[in-house]
Amino acid sequence: MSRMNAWLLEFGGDCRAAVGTRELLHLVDAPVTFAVPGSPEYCRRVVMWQERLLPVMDIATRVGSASRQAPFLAVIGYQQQRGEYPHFGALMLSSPPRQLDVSDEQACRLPDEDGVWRELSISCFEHQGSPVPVLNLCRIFSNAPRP
Amino acid sequence: MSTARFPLASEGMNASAAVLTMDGLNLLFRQSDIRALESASALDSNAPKQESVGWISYMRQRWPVYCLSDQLDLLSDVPPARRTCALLPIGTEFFGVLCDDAAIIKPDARKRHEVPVAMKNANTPILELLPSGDKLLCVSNPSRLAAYIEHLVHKQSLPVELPCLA
Repeated sequence: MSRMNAWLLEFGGDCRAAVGTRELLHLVDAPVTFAVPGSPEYCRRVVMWQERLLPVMDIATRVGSASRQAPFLAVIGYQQQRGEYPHFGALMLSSPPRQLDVSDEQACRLPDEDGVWRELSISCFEHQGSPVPVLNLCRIFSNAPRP
Repeated sequence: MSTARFPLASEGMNASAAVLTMDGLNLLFRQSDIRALESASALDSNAPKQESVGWISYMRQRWPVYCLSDQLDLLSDVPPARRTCALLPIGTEFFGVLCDDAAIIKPDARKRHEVPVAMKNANTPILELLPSGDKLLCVSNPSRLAAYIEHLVHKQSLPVELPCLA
């Protein structure tokens, strides 16, 4: 029986990744965002969501892919430790996310085994002939930018 | 959340504050942090201190004046919109920052937010963020801004690495 357990996220071009179904909380269409000066190129803006100010992560820029138009934001939740209250962030998307049914048999190598995806991902699976990294949201949003 | 880091909180939740506008950047200080506002035309641009744009006279002395972009980069060419010089204290000394506009507001400090970890560079002069209408106010204080400018000056004075010819 099919069991949807992942969201496929498109960041523009060939750049895509996945998160677990419980990690994606809300899709914001045409969001109003604010620029924060001095922040890293891949995380330049914040968005207000439910009285919280969330960092907006541009994964395409972060992995060195050309940043495309991203009319959607995916609000995601993650925990740094099991049982704690979740933290929140937002990911820039080029299209609405799609649900997938992913099994262990689809596990594969990351697109760049030694590159930036290794830093951003916890695993990877094959979907329609291409690798899809599974994002490590805690690491992506909890680490300060490198000097 | 520590109130010690938030300059507005020490004078009450809704103390008056000063917003210095530099293009799209709105830097928020305690009102008392702005010691004087001078016209940028009063600037003496002769022999400016390293990476500054000139000097401004205040309390019988002259103090370096810096010009920042809305991305917090140091500018050597002053944009025409920077018509005002705000003087800020660091200990017993002062420094000037050029801005387009300076306004006094009463921000709702309860709406302040920490800068998210993923976007917080170690040297940032931005302590917290405060959404206000269609703007985002970036909370700072004179010592953090002075340290940040010093960091930029030091960075820009480092020799450029020569390419290895071997």
